[in-house]
Amino acid sequence: MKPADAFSADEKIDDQPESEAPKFVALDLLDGVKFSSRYSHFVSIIKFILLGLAILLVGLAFVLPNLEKEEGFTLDYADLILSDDSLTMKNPQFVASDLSNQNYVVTADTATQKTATSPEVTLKNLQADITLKSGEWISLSAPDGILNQDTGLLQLFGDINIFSDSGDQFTMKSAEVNLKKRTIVSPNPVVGHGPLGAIEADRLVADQLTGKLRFEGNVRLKIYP
Amino acid sequence: QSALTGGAYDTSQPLEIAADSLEVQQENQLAVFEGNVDVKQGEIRMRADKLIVYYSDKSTASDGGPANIKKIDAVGNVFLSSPRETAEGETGTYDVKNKRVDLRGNVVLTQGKNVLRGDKMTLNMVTGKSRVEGAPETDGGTGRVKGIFVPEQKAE
Repeated sequence: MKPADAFSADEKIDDQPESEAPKFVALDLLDGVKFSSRYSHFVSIIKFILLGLAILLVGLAFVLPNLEKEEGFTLDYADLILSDDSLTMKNPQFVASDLSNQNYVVTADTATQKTATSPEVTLKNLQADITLKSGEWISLSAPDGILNQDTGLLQLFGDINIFSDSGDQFTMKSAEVNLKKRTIVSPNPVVGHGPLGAIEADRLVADQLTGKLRFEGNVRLKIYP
Repeated sequence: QSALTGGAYDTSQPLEIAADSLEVQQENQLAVFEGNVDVKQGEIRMRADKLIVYYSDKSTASDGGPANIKKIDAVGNVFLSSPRETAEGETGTYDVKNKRVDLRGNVVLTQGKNVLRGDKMTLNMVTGKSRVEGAPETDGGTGRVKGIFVPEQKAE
């Protein structure tokens, strides 16, 4: 795996004011200097997606540890393919851990930006694995995702599954992840079950900052005392 | 004999809750059900406008055991029923650990044709015994409980 330049922990993308969100520069593909600036923009976006998703997943997992400053992280990838105007990163892997030993590993098969000026990055087979302070392990998988890096909205499609090693599982058809506001909204039915019981509802709204998880519409919960 | 259970009540049955919405507040370890809340456990059923479930998740559970429910508060149009009786009031509390239900505010208990009115009812789900109290005079009440008991017709 090729290590992207490891970004120091304090260079958090979501701390950047809206106006300074990374913008792409029109590229003259033969000009090395411009390519490398496009490359670095692209890498910072991938980091933004994977890091944001990792943090949100922790919130979704019914556990809300306070996320201390990250110690550091690395973003690796297998290959970077430039074809026509699209830039594809193969097997991006983002590994991070914070001071309280929570480890995040977020990967995707591919991350593709169609054109230099396109705000959208398409992701295939997203997989996020988190180990929490409590030792609990949680995983999220989503077949497809599209991030609009201008709005910070990551649309996840296909059967999204969230597992935890304590036996809890959530499935939903699609979800909109707001990486800047740190919320996840699933506009269609959500089903969850685990050792404690089972739940289903028409919609789910998870807000990682307030620590609230809201199920709406025909909520049915079954608890095994 | 119990005003609500006719015998010990089986709290080991699964608890089913239906509602218009559920909000889980992880930091406060609260789950708030709102809108047409309908709870079923075995033969016991409870309806209310809002239900607040106080739980302790396993990371804070004192005995380290699995997450569990400590208490349930019901607010607004609380209606409790079993096959033989009903009980209603403005608010209610179900203390899961001590297996006790409290109903407060315009409490009405019915058992067949018998009706008992008071301000507060306490039901012990282990013994099946319940106690009804009138509204204290300080609250403008008479401090008394009212009941109508209809003798069963003797077979001719």
